[in-house]
Amino acid sequence: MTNYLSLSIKEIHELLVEKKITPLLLVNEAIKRAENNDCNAFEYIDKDVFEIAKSLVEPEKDNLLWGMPFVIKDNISTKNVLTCASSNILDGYVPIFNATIIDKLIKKKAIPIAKTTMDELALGGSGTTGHKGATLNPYNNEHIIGGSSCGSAVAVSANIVPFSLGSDTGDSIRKPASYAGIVGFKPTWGRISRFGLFPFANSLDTLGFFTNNVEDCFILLDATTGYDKKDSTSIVNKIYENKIEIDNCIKTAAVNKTIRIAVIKEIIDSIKNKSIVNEFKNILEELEKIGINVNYVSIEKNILRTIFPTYFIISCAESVSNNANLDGLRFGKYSEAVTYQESVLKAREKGFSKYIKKRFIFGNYALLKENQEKLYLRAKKNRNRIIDIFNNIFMDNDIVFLPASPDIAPKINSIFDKDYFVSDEYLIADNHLIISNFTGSPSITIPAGFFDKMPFGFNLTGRIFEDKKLLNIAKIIEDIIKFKQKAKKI
Amino acid sequence: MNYKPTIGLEIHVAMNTKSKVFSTGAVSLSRAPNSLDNVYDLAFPGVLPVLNKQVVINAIQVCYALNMTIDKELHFDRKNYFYSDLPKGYQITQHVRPIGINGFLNISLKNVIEKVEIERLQIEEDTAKQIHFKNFTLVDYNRSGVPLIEIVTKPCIHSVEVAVKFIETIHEIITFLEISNGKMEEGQLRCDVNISLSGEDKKLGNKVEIKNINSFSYIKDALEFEIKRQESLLSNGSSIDQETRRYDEKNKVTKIMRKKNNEIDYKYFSECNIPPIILTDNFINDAIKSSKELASVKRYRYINSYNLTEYDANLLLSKKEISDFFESCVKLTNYYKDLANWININVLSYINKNKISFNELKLAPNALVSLINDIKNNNISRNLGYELFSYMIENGSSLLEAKTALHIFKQETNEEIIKKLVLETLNGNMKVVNDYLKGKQNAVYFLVGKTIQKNDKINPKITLKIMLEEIKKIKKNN
Repeated sequence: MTNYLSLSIKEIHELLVEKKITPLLLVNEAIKRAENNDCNAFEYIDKDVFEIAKSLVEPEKDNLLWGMPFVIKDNISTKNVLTCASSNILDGYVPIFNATIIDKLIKKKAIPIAKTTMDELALGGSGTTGHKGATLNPYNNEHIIGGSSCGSAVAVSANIVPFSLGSDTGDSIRKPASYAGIVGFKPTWGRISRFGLFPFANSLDTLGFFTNNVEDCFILLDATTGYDKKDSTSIVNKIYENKIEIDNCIKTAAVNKTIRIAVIKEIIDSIKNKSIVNEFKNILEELEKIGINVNYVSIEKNILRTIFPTYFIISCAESVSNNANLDGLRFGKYSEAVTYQESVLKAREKGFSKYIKKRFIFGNYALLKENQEKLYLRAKKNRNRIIDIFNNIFMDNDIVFLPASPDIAPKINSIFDKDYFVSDEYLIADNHLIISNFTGSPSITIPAGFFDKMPFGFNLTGRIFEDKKLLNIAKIIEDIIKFKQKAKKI
Repeated sequence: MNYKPTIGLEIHVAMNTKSKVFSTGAVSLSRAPNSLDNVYDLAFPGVLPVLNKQVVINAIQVCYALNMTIDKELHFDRKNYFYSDLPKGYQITQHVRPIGINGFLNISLKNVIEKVEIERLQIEEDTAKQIHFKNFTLVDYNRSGVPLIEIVTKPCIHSVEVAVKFIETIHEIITFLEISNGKMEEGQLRCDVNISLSGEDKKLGNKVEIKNINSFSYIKDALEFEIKRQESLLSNGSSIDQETRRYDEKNKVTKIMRKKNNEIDYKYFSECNIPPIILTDNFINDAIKSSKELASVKRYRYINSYNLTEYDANLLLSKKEISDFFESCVKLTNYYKDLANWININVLSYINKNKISFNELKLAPNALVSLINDIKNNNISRNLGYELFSYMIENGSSLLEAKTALHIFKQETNEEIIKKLVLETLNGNMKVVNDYLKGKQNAVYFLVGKTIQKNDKINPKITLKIMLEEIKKIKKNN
């Protein structure tokens, strides 16, 4: 039987409207595929949704998400459905409320079928640190899929669902998308309410999507964007609430040479995998051919090298405070003890992995009175400096275009020597996606090609609030890349 | 040797808004423990703070009353620490940019004006309430997230009296602005005091902080004890350690909690879930305009427009609820002085005797005012007035209802009818009349009483007047 789940949202919708398939059939197939998947992508598969699927009989013509199955990263609050952020400290936690994004999708009658694995509490980038162990790449189980939204990346990459929800604090959607050969989109910070998203580093956290194509991101952003009175940082300004849809003008703009794309030279120079660089340059040529301006811009390497440490300090500091509520007393796993202090100590000692504790210690250290000035506040200052540099680039350019990662997904047991983590390949080429979390910019990774039969992706980042323009340009590039044709050859 | 105390105060005031400072959870102190829980106030994963507008309005009103500079932009920070009453593991407060700075309050003490400078006023959230038992502690999250303002003075107070009077004035301000119920016994106003002594070299000694005192008298006692304790240490040549203490009400002493080197590092940083909020001039002005009248303004009106004595005015203003009752009565009468007396003496003594609050008072303002008017117009005697008052305050009835119940109707003022009764009395009591004529002045009241016995509705004053006229006639005829 055809796997309808690998189709685009619009294609599936047409089949549903024509009644060639039903939501029940889709959900059946999705759950079967989820259960048979061997990548460790799921925390919890919700079989109660069969009833919901059965109740959806009459297709809603104008509602593209009607009856569409999807999966949810496990740090997004789902009412009456286990949500533990792949951490032992939240074992058994069943929230009593839905995240706003979930309410919106359920209202559209999309069907959430599962919660997906992630790096514990989203504090990681490998997809290997959740309490259920490593999540694997469906292209090759010897490779990682990347994180922290690892399970949600697998679910789309392995055609289990047409779309999934993730969260992105450093590059937690866009890096796994690159490793998984799919689209990963992080809208402008504030576009989608964060109410119900378990916070990692709230000044950077953004909800977003994995999809098979750029157009699906339009549909999902349109369905989930908007001001939410439960999130004071959600966008109030009505100007930004224009309906989001594919804009043919952009194609005309490309022909008229009004689209300007910036490529940061130092980041390209830091990539060692020449196949990826060559493929990237090929695409640049194609873009110039259709009339898009490509500008090489420069940022000092010394500044680019500060991106990761800056991110690490800010995110660890915010995370230690954000996760101070996890004490096992009111929800999650309670630890029996005589005193309050002992109980909390025990809950946190057992509930967090060594990796989490390290980050908490680091975050605490950066916030201590005697260290704040030279660590936390300095990092915030540097963040602002990087934002300024990027805003400068955006004065003359619509988009920053770069390979999303310097290489394909690493093997699970690959060992990097210490020098690697201070190399430009790591600090610059492997961590530049963080910049759009600093700025709050919309940013999207689209699949670009293969190396060693493993996929890699390219990333586009736009001005804040210009999600629509970003997606339009991404669509143009997607059409040029023709990833699906490349995939067929693999 | 003489030591001079220098005192700084930090006062926490719990607001009486409908909902909490950062959530839609209800604020109510009378509800059963943990019955008002809201996912935000329990710090469930994924919840976000949303600032309550009324809290900002209230804070602006207090800032204005304290002559403070109001920040046109709101900023919030996190104060991080673990404690069993703090579900999030941090408190949202305004560490870096408080809404109000650089204020002052002039307070008068024994006719001397003392200026107390105020450093800052900040908005923050309350912790959960803990009830400690011998082997366990209960936590009531109803209080978690109740809006607080913290008012911090400069270390500019040099006497216990000024410190206490300042706190009393703050209490008066927040209750008259109606932003707090100000019940200290329920922790709605609580105080941390900082105190250091200086000797002849005028150098300030080490600072001792006494935390969380929640009654005027405890504050006075704690300060007095602490000054004595430090004085005796200094006199013995010992030094004062910088430390945090608490007041033990039972033994009337302060006890050490922690030394300075054990101070908590709160690791403050900015709260990015609440973006900076611009306060427009219009918003600030509207907030100020909608302020309730301050006690100081009322006091001026009571003394200058109503001609009350300062003593009476102060008594009426000693509690917001007394003044509220006075205000609702004063609209209905011009007998200000009588009204003040009735409230300050009769109403208050009833309230105190029965241990009730003004909310539970059944007496309606118009009932009291009608009574006062009736007495002033000589429609009823003062004694009858007390009887009617007792009935009205007990039963919550109107004056008419009370009169009906006590069988008192409109007084008989028809002079012909009264004269007939007077003559009857005189005829039957000639011996008493003679006594009066011989100089026994009080005898006339006996005769008036005898007359009223015949008909208790006749007006006593008119009866007396006619009685005297008739006796005069008898004297002439003799």
